[in-house]
Amino acid sequence: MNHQPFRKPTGGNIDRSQPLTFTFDGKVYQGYSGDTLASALMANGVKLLARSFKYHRPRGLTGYGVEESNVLVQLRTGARSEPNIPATQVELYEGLVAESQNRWPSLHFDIGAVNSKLSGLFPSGFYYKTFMWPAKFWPFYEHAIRHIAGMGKSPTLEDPDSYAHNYRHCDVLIAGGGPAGLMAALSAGQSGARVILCDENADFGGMLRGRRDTIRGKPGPEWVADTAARLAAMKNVRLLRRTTAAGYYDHNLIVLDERVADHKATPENHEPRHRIWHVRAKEVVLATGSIERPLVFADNDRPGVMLTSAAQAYANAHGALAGRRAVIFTNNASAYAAAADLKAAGIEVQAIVDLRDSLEAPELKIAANANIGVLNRHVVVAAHGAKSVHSVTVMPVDSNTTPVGEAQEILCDVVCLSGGWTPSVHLFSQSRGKLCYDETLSAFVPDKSFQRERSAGACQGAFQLDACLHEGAKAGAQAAVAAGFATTAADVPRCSADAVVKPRLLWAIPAPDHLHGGKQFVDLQNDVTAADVGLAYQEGYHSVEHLKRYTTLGMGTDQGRTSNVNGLAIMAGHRAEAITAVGTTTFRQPFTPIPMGAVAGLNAHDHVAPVRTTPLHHWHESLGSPFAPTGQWLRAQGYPKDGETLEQATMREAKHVREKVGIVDVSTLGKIDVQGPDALEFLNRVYINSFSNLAVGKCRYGVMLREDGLVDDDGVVTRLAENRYMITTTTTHASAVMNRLEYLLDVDWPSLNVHLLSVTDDWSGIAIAGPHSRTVLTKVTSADLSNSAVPFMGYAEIDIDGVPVRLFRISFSGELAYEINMAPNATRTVWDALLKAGANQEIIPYGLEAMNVLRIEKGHVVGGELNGRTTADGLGFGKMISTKKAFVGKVPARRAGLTRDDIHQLVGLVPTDEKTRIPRGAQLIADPKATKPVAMQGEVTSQCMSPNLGHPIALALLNGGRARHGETLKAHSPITGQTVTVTVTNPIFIDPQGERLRG
Amino acid sequence: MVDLTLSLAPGTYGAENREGPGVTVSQRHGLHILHLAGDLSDTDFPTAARHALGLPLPQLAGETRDGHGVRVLWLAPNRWLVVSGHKLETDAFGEKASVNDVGQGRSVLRLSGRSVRDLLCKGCPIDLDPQSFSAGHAAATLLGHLNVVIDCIADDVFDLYVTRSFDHFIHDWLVRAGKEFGVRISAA
Repeated sequence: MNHQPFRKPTGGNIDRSQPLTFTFDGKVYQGYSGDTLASALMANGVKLLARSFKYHRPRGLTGYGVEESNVLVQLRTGARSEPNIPATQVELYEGLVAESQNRWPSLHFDIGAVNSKLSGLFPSGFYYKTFMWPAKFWPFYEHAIRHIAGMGKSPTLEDPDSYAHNYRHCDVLIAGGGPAGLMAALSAGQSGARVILCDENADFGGMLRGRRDTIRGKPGPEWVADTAARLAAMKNVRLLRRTTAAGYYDHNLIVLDERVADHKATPENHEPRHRIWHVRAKEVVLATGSIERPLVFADNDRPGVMLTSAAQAYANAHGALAGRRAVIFTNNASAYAAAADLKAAGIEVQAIVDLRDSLEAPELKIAANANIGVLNRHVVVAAHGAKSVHSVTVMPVDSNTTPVGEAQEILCDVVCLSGGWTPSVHLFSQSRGKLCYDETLSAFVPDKSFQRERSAGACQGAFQLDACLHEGAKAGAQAAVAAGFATTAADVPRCSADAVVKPRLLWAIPAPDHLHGGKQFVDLQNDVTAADVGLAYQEGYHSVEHLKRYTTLGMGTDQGRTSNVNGLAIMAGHRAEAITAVGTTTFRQPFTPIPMGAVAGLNAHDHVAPVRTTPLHHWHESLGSPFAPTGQWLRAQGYPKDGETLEQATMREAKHVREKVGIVDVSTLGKIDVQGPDALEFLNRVYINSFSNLAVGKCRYGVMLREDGLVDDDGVVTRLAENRYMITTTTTHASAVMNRLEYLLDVDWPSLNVHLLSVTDDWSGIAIAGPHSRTVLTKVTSADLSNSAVPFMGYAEIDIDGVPVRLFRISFSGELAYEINMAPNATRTVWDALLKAGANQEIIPYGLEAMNVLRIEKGHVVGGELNGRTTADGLGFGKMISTKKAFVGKVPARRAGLTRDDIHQLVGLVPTDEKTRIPRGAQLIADPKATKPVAMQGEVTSQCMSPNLGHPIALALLNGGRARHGETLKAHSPITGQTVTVTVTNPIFIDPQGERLRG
Repeated sequence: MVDLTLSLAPGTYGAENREGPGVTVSQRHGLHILHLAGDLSDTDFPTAARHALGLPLPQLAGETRDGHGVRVLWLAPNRWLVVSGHKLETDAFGEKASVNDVGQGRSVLRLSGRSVRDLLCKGCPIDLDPQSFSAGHAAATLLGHLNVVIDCIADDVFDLYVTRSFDHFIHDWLVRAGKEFGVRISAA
């Protein structure tokens, strides 16, 4: 397999002493270290590499880098398999496996190619026209179309690799490491500024890698290596190879995607596969280069038709030959040096077909020296061949660029196109810089900057090497100075001269009649032709954005890098307007695709959101409690004994607490310390009820509204000292409440002297509940716990087993109960002391589920009821609303829509058969058999089996519910389809008078 | 389903390097930490604070000060963290101060090693370059999903203050993020 028929014996930046074996479509080939998959396939003479997206036409390489539109491969196998990777961007490694895409069963025999014969059936927008009826079949159509129309397959196995992000700050970021970027880095680097230079390729050099320019009399790549070494020696310069500047965001945030390990079989020694860099740069230099444009003529997609610069780069950098006999088709002078390079590499150049009338001396000299014939004022009107081009038809053009006169056929297996150059203005445009159209270059170039950036070199239309070096040196110095460093431009080396690009324009070569029918492709990746652009115009899609959506021109992985300008110029022709009037589509991030894994970084699997645990977590775990995520917290659900289900344990625990005593971990409740001389005023402003008469050492239940008058959260306010309070929030709302309170203090009421601190983690919590709770507590403290010393809603600071604790006489369960807060390290001591002391009272631990049952039995509201759509009165807090003071949400809460009698009010529900569980989320309706739509009167928010009542119960929000106790309704779950007949009741099922908790 | 590793055995994780792990993580125990809030423009407060601490409160964003066995970290306007090996009285700062003992509500991790800045950069968006963030600087910022305080002790030594309930999570994060450098978790 050593034979590489299209490889030069010498030359190029490859290491022939390091052969690498790889597999494409199951066949084994050999390439060399320094190859890309594309250059290695070319060296092996493999020309048919892909089938097109829509018509399944045979395709080969067209580009050298990110512009490649045809040859997307499925790279690697198994869990690491990745679709739609341009072969031009894959560095070869030993054992690489790639497969072509979009063909079945094989590239050479592809059944889908029948689409090409039926292409009349698939005009642009045919999806929208053909698959409209019946509408409900669209999902089926979509699935079938997705399968038939192109692109590779997503891996189904879990990605075994890791990905990383990192955040960096620098003075000068330089995007692009070609001649301009390298010079910019030298200028900025010598100033002492912190510089980051990134380049998407395996090494720096940009266009110098593929050309035969000389700098200081030496080959370009030598100067690149010297310069990179000089930069590497500067401690303030960071060089990032294989790193694409993918997105430019506000405030000079540039996101880079570093392919750390894609050039290896697998990542090594725990390195991430990709690393995303979030770089905040004071100043930016864009040196992103330019991409050659193809020309549009009949059957210009045949394998072997490619960009001139691509064929040149394969020959120069890899010693890989695109074919044996080439025809160059150009509209500008840049192709002549390339033609000479191809000839020197051993490709017979049949002719340079040049659209221009008159040629300049330098290019004529190049052609003469290389002994290449030039056909000026000629065009290629068509390419011929199927799986490879075998000839082209060439015709003269008249002064109107219309092909006239005698056609001649030239045999060739390569057609190199040069339709001018398109500056890569993607990042500039993403930064919100404004573009303008340069008529001479026939290209969009940067005009007005919006952020602190400047462009240098080919990306702003300075295509000559000398200009790139000078502009880069200047831009690097300017950026460093703007970032606050004193410097001047680095010395610019002398270099070889190259041609001035002044294209003569003919956006689509008209085909003579006898060639009628050959497709003139504008966008190869999406199979969009010049005729499709015309059709879009005809059907009224005149705007470029509409053109893009209707024809898919410029979509896909290459984002129209070689097709956009041609497409919009053809549209401008139809509109009879200047190109500048047509404009460009929006350039969006990322510049090239980024794997989803890299986007996620570390935030994958169980790190999607953080997890919080209480100081008793390991204790709960050791008793085998399952955990429920509650916000970010993990809460112990219950303690099943041998043979018990969690449901059975919940019933047992809930019953036991009502009859005896239990303890539960309530550390997750939000706690906020409120201090300062204006603390009372602050609380009065945020709660609906007043705290003015709350004495030190007392607790009071409070409800707060949002700015729109709906309930935000509830909790208990305890006055610890004259100017110090602690408030609690629900577990899940804790951080949102804290954020809102801080916002109110910082923004709305900066004059209030109040300090807030979340102390959720500084005080752990244990609730003890049940008729024996005081008895148990009395055993572990010497403090007086009598009703007169610590009455319901009282507070005391006491010792438990030597641990100082805060004791709150509050009750979520409706039983005689206390909440104990203590320093977290002492939690286990207190917990154990209570379990030990309560042994005679048969104390048990209970979990979240039993706590939930107890609170539903008491009609206490939590997240299901505090759902952001309920009013204070609707939840039964109407009597708490103060009329004497102002508070957040007071005025909006008085709106008619929130004060009507028929809005949602909290009720209880009992199934009429006293057996059937009421599904949570069920809708309350009068008659499920009524004509649709059935009016929904309310919804079930919480439900459980009540062990203390012996039947299921539920809480619900029901229109005008308070006046409807005793009514019978249906609870219908749209999810389970279940319907349960229910009776509306008081939401407080147990001890409505509250005698037990005051006991 | 939460399958987070909630306890990490001490040991070395990730890359093996000849120089040893790039980062070492150990827990700092026995610290007394107060959260101090007060109005600097009210002269009573800074005077009382200086008296209690024996040094003036740092007033620049991100500034830290040391002395008399106490380290004071500027957290935000009018907010400080006071860290000490000995117990500090919460009522020593005068009536105008709002003080909370947060010593047990924070996990304090000492991170050290040649790769420690590279590790922190993986989750922290502020400029951690030595020329911007060195000994004498602290920042209340983000690390991954978490609010943290990062205190630079020396060039490659940092203290990380994390809310206690995230202790397991931050250890797990540090190991994941640190694997490419090699990370050693010291015995608690």
